[in-house]
Amino acid sequence: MKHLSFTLTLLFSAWTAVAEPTEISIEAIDEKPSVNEKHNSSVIETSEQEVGEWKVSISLGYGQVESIISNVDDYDLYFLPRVSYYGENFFLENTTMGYSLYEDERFYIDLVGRLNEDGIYVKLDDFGVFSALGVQPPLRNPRMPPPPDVERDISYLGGFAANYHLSGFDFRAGYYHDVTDVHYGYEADFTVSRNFILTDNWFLHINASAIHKSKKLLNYYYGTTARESVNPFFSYQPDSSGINYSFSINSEYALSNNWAWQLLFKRTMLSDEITDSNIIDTTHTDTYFFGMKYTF
Amino acid sequence: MKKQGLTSHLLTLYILLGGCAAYGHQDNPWKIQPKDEVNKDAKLVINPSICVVKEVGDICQQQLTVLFTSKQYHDICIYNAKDAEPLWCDGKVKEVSFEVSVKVNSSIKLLARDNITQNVLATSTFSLNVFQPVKKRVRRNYGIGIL
Repeated sequence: MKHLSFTLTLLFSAWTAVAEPTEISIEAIDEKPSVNEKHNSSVIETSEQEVGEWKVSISLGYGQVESIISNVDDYDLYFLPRVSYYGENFFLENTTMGYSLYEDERFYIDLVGRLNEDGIYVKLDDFGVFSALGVQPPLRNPRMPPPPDVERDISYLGGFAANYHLSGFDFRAGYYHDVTDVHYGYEADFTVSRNFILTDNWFLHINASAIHKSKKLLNYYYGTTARESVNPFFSYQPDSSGINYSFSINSEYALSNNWAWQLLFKRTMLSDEITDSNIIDTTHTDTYFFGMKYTF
Repeated sequence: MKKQGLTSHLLTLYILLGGCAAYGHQDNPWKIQPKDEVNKDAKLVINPSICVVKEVGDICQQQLTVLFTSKQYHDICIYNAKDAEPLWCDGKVKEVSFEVSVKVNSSIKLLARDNITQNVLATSTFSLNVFQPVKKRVRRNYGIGIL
């Protein structure tokens, strides 16, 4: 019995010695500690931008802006500059700037100032960015001279936009009024867009919009007086406001942190109030660009 | 006047280039893998392997479990890669686990060496990470007017 209890005690001691893990301690306080810094970063464009960061890029390639004005040819695009900045409340995206009055993860309301694109189409032949390329395109139909004295100014619009993010989609509704005293009109838009991350390097952004344009705005850009028309009989005044519909895709395939293939395409269906104008010769317009983007 | 043909050609070209680039990024099965000096038969696992601190220099005090496994028996010693002296040694070991309490402000790398040949059998790192949440805002995607 004595032997048995001694054996059991010995076995128990041995078992506890094996079962109990050996404890080791490491204490090391370095003057220059080696620590990994973790940031949320991605080589592809994401739907977010870091606060305080400027993003500047230039794309080189080929594209066209199809003119909607009679006798003004399509414009070739060889480069596309882009700049964006997001501060605590302020933001700048190319020609659009804004100030966020309220912002949470899903919902935000912005004061927005943006360039009116009708003015860009009308001024396309002397728009600075394109003229800077030194390319003066030939007339679409050289036998027909352009209407004399059709002068329109570019306008800048200011207003509010409310955005809501739901189930991966971004919904935006906005109202923007002329703040440059050019036509005293307004635009209201509704946009649905979505980002698709196809692979680690490839993303696609799809956007569909309906843009309501006021009668004053349409009358200024697309209405013509008897003096402006080649034949005074064909003067035009839109009798109501109109709605343009547009669809666009923007896709990028990142090759590195700086370089990416880029494809942009946008189709805009013009409202009847625009297409009825005697200075318009199309029912829709396409803009596209394909090239290599370098982000600084 | 309308360049519909060119648009569709560009779209096709873009998809083809993207597809080629995606295929090109896959691992090449014929590539000769570089020889790793560490013995593949042995493994050293630290659990947990990461400690997140607020700032560089902050101390992480934690209890770790280190597990060494091997297909063969070895006389092993576990080293902190920065020290010449072993932390722990044992003979004829195939699988062993032990506790390590750490109080460090820097990542540490542990080595399991064969005590006879001095070959490194396995390595593992307990890394200190500083997580710096970056404030971000949702992009509005207004584009460039006509684009």
